[in-house]
Amino acid sequence: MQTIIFALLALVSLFSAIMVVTRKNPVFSILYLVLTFFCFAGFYVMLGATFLAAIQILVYAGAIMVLFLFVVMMLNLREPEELEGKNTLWQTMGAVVAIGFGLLVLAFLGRSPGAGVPNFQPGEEAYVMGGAKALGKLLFTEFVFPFEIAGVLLLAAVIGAVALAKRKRV
Amino acid sequence: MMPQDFVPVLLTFAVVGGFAGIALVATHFLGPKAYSPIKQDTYECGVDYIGDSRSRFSVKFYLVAVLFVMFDLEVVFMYPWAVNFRTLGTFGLATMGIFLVILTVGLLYEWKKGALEWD
Amino acid sequence: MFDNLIAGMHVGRVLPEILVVVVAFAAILIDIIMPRGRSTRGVQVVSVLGLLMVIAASFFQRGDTGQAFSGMVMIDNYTTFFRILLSAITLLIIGVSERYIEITRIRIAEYYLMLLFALFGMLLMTMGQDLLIIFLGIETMSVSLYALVGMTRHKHASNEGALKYFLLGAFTTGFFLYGIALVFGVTGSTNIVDITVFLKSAGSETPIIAWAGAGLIMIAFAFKAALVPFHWWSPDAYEGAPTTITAFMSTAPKAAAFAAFLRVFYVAFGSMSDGWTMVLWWIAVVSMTFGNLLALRQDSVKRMLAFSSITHAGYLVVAFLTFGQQGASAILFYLVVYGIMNIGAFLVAIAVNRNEDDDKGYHFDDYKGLVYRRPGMAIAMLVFMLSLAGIPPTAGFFGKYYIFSSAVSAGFVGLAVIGVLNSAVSVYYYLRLIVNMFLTERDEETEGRIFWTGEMAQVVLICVILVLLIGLFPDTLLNAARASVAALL
Repeated sequence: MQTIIFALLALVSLFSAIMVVTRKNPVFSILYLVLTFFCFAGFYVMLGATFLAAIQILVYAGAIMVLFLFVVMMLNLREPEELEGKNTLWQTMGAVVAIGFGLLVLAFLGRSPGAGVPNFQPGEEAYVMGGAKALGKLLFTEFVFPFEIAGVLLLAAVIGAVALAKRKRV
Repeated sequence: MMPQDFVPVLLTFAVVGGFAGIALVATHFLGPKAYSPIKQDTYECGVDYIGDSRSRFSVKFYLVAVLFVMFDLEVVFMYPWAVNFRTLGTFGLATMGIFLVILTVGLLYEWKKGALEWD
Repeated sequence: MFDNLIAGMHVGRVLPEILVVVVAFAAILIDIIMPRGRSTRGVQVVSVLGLLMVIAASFFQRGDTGQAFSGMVMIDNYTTFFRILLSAITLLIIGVSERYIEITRIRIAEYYLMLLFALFGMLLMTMGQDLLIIFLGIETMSVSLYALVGMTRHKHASNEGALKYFLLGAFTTGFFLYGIALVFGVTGSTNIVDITVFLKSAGSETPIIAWAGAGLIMIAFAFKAALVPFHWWSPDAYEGAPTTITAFMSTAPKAAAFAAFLRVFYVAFGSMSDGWTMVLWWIAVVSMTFGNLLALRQDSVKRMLAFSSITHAGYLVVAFLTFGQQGASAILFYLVVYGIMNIGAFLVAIAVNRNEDDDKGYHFDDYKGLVYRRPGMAIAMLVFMLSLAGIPPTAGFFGKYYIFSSAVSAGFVGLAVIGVLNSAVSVYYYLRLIVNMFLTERDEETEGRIFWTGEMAQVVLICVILVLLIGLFPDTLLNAARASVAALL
């Protein structure tokens, strides 16, 4: 059962990821990206990271996607063909990076990870670990410093965004 | 929580997807079809359209969306704190308090700079 | 249970970082509460005083070394060295910016705030002992820098530079996170100490996934330090940014990137040095050569300095890949020297620039006969150019000398030769400016109004004195650098 669901999710996420980069109309790309994000949420659930899965849908498939859509709509969409051909250098570089990552994944395949590498077993324990309660306990004890830094980072981002996007008050 | 607990979620997705798919296919076969220039018009009711619908959006929308994402993330951090509220006690309250002060300063800043107003 | 936790956090050890955030808070509140005219002054005063306090706190805290926040951060001499260097650079930039941001019509409070947040991020990078902290530091710094580059919103180049920097920077974030994920997958930890222990015990049989993770993290650092072939953003971002920010970006974030780079690769991936020195050998060669070749062709002084900063990063990599105390201390030494001379050079460039709104500004021709118009300024620029070119008795000479001698003693003779050759090539474009200033007649047509303020004069004077002082007595700084890296290795 698990294998079937995984295979299904993997197929759909691969398909939609390919669609994201091949669509000419950026709005379609974004809609496929939403689908990819949903599949990732599915992976997270299967690995036991249930809280993360909920966040993935809330923040990524929800808020971040809206942001993407606004950015796309801010750009001029009337002539999608104009985008073609101009950026061959970037396309080549993108292809190189993509092939590089592909080879990286191939290199992992069929190899034992090496001695002493911790082995992850999705099971009841993993589901306890990935829940909001266990996560909160860690976040507010061991990881309290990065947590506060995240607040400062968000503050910096708020000020930066306002500084760039808000018209000066006269 | 176990993987089996997510079967209802899976079923919901299946039902939602299935309904959407069936509805689309069914209208294709069941609905009457009529093609004429008027029928193909953007607004069937007869109103003439003005320009293209793909006009550029103002950057203001973007600003609102960015600010939304920030405070969305703030709330995300509050959830794991809320479920552990009793065990974390004063320490947790203090840490969350500092976090909230940091972001509230950001909110005050936005407010004062007029980022929450439309123009 | 929480009493133990709080006692184990050692909050006092991150006092300088807390101070930076408090200063930023104070600046925000002043900007919000005070009326427009007076708030500017208030923000400036608070930032300058606050940074002085940060430097003082870092200095007086140098004895209290150790971990804080359950091993998330490490406060040692190395951290103290970079704390003082980075805060001092930020202080210098904040000190000279007042009039410049007025004429470029930048939002004043935001400019100071973003610099403070960038400093906060950089401080995290230098003390992070957990990849998570280093990541958050890089992000805080980068977010602030993206905004700073785009601050002159009416200028096309500024917007373009900010967008390019942002897009490529966001891409790099992906690399860094992927790298962390792979390393975490192998070692089961993001803590540098734990990673070191794991990889040491693995010995020569380092898992291939760890190699991949280290490689991805290296790409991210190479991007932040603007090394070839990950330098594509830097010329445009440097050119588009307000020039005070260009001076800042080419010094402080570069130093912070190298600080984190050193800690991660010397400590965590130290047992894998055979592999990464080989990669860095090539990166050093292409960075030095490529930066030089492009700098040769520039007619804009700002762009020339931007490309030459790629070359200088290449020199730093030469010392980096020696993987020893001598090389590491040479890096710290050079970062300080480069910071001083580069800020000085950029300030003179701001002064001589014809018209800030002109995208074609900062032309070499603007400097024709500068010595007849402003002899002091021309002499200061002469000192900076000689130092950048690495000619004795300036600090730049010793910086390069230590770098290349560390390479020779570590057995990288070929690399040292390539570095010295590149250094010789770079003399051409630094000399071109000197020739324009001293050996060319004044040209009324290309002359513009000199933009000069008291603060700029003071900072340039400080930079000139420091370049010459370090050039004459390099030992003090070198000893400080040695003491700092001793904590690392």
